[in-house]
Order: sequence, then C-alpha cells, then structure tokens
Amino acid sequence: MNSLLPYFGVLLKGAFVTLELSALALLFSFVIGTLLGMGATSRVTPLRVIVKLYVEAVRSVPLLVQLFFAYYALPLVLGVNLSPYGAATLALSVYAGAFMSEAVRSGIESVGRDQWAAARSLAMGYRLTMLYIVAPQALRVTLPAASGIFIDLLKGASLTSIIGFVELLQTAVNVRNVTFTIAPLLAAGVLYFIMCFGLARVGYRIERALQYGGR
Amino acid sequence: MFYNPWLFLQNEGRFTSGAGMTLLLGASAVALSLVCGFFGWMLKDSKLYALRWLGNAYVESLRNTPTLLYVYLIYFGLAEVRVQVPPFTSAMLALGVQGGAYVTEIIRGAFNAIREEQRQAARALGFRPLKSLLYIELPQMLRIAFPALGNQVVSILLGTSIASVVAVPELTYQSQIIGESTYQYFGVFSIDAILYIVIVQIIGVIWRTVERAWFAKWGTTV
Repeated sequence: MNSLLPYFGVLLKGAFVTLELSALALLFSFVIGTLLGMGATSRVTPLRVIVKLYVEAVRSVPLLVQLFFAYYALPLVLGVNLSPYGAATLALSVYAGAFMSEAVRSGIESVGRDQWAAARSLAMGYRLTMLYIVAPQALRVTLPAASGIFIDLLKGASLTSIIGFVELLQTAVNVRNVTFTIAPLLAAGVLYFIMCFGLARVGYRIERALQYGGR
Repeated sequence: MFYNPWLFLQNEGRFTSGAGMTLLLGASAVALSLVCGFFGWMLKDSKLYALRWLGNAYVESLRNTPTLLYVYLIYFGLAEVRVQVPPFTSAMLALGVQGGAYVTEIIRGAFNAIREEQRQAARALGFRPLKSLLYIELPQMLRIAFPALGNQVVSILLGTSIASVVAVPELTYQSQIIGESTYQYFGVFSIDAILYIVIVQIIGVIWRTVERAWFAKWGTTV
C-alpha cells in the first residue's frame, strides 16, 4: 500500500477527469433529453415515433459499440477527426440522452391532464404552460432519475479508456503497469464507490425534498 | 466509399460466430447472476446482522463500480498470484457477479411484494418454510420479478461487449477485427449495432410472449 502513496494525486486527478466528462455528458444529455422528452409527449405522431426509435435503438446497443461508432466510424463519414475526448463526450451524451428523454417524458406525464386544461382556460399557450406549470412539477420526477443517469455515466465513462481516453480506470491501469500490484485498481474502485454511492445518496435526498403531499 | 452492401455476406462467418459467442457468454453470465442474486438475497434478508451487512456490502459495492474494473481486477489480480483464467471465464465472472448484485435487489423486491397473508396461509396448511418458499412464494416471485429480470438479461447481454477487451471473440470483438482488416468501420459497426438490436428485440418478444402465456391468467393475485 505504501508504494501507492506517490500515485494518489494521479488517481484523484483521474477521478476528477471522470467526473468532468460525466458532468459534461450529463449537461448535453439534459438538452437532448428535454427536446426528445417534449417530442415524446407531443401530439405529432411522427415526432413520437422518431423519439421512440431513437430511445429503443440507443438502449439496444452496447455503450462500447456507440463509443466505437463515434470514434472509428463517424470520422470516416463526416471527414472530421474526433479526439478520444470528443468522441467520448458525443457517445456518452447520445447514450444518456435516450435515458434522459425517458426521465423527462415520465416527468411531463406525471403532471395531470387537467392542469393543461386549467392553463388553457387561463389563455396560456403550450410554451407558457410548459415553462411555468408543467416543467417545475415535472422536475420532481426527472431530477431523481437524472441522478441515476449521472451514476450510469460515471460508470460508463470507464469504457472510454478503451478508445484511448485516460480517465480514472485507465489511470489506475497505468499505475498498475508501473507498480505491478492491483492496489491502484482497488483504490480506483474505492473512488468510484465514493462518487457513485455519494451521488445515489444525493439523489435520494433530492427525491425526498421534492416530494409533497401524502406525508 | 464507406459502405459496402456486401460487407455482411463477406464476413458472415465472423458476425454469426460473434453473435453466437455473445449469446453464450450472456446466457452463462445470466445464469451465474441468478445464482449470485439468490445467495445475495439470502444474505441480505438473513437474521444475522453480520450476514445482512455482508449482503449489503456485496450489493452496494458492486452496483456502484464499473464492470470494466472487475474485468481488469480478475485479469491482473489472478495474474499476480499466477493463476491463468480463460478470457471467457473471467468475463463471465465479472458480468455474473456484478449482475448478481442487481438480481439480489430484484428478488428481494419480489419477495417483499408478496403479502404476509400468503405466508401465514401456507403455515396454516402445514407448509414448512422451505416448502412454502418453493411452492407458494417462488412461483409468485417469478411472476413479479419477470419484467425486471428481462431488463437485467438485456443489460447483461449488452454488457458482454466489454468482454472484447480481454479478447473473447464475441460480436464486438469480431466487428473490431473486421473493421481493422477492411477499414469500413461505418458499415461494420452499423451491422454490429443492428445485430444487437435484433437480439434485444427477440428477447423482448420472448419475454412478452411468456408473460402473456404464463402469467396473464394469474391476473392480479398476490
């Protein structure tokens, strides 16, 4: 364990990189998810079908394959070179966006139809109703789910090491290749646990804080 | 030219053997995860505090760490003590033991969903705890847990792609090989993705059929 001490800073930095990548992907996925979630609850059938296809496709393909797609296939088609960081951000955002759209959809659907009718009777259009009536209430359902998605992202970010991005797990493997013990991997496991378990607790707190009625 | 329509036919052998390996690895890992999940549940609902703690530690530590970490731990950790494990076994262990943590919670949830009266009625009819578990609780638990188990099967199956890292010749590994030799990454990974979608859809159909055929007639008992 003593041999690990000098590398502790490197591992912490790796954890920070993992957090940063996941947070960035969470941000993008929130944008994607909000747009798609609104599409999924719209009255326009083609829109709903497209969102459903997207969500089903993303959830039926391994994240690793999506990463390979972003890293190896997209540059050939678009003619642009993505760095491992760019490809990782793109793939993770698209991946989490599908789950986020489901979270947003169930959030919007948790708000009763009569609230839409009440807003309509107050002469509020779709945009006003969505912004001031539905969105604040939908967040009650969406935010706890978002913390679960963030945990999935933290764990999923470990796969980006396979396309050559150095995050926490790859840092641990690199340290292992110098020290020849599995201690750095165990240390990385502890760091993952602290991040994910902590987030799960935060998500639980948010869920409790946002609950109302029935108490 | 980034897409060659004959790509699948030209590499059919690799794609089909890869898909077969994915299914085999997925099925083995699912079987292992059911066993681990059952033991995890036994630990977590045990009367002894120490065993409950152990069950909790198992579930929480494995659910909050990435699968790839376990693949590496098994790969490097066993190499350290000079034990050689075939790639297939190490991937199956990683996926199965981690999947078990999720299955633990699924089984626990199903057991808790069964009303206390069912247990009391079973006792009144002279069923011992073990027999009551086998004939009264488990069949109902299976019905309750069935949809969640389907999701778990799919997530383990998609997780098998990680086995490509330790060179298990499954679908993603074979796709990488084809991609490297043809440089038609777009076509190769499109076919790869489509094959996964087809497999997942087939599992979905099987699950829905079983649910309709076996469980629908039970209505809302429990």
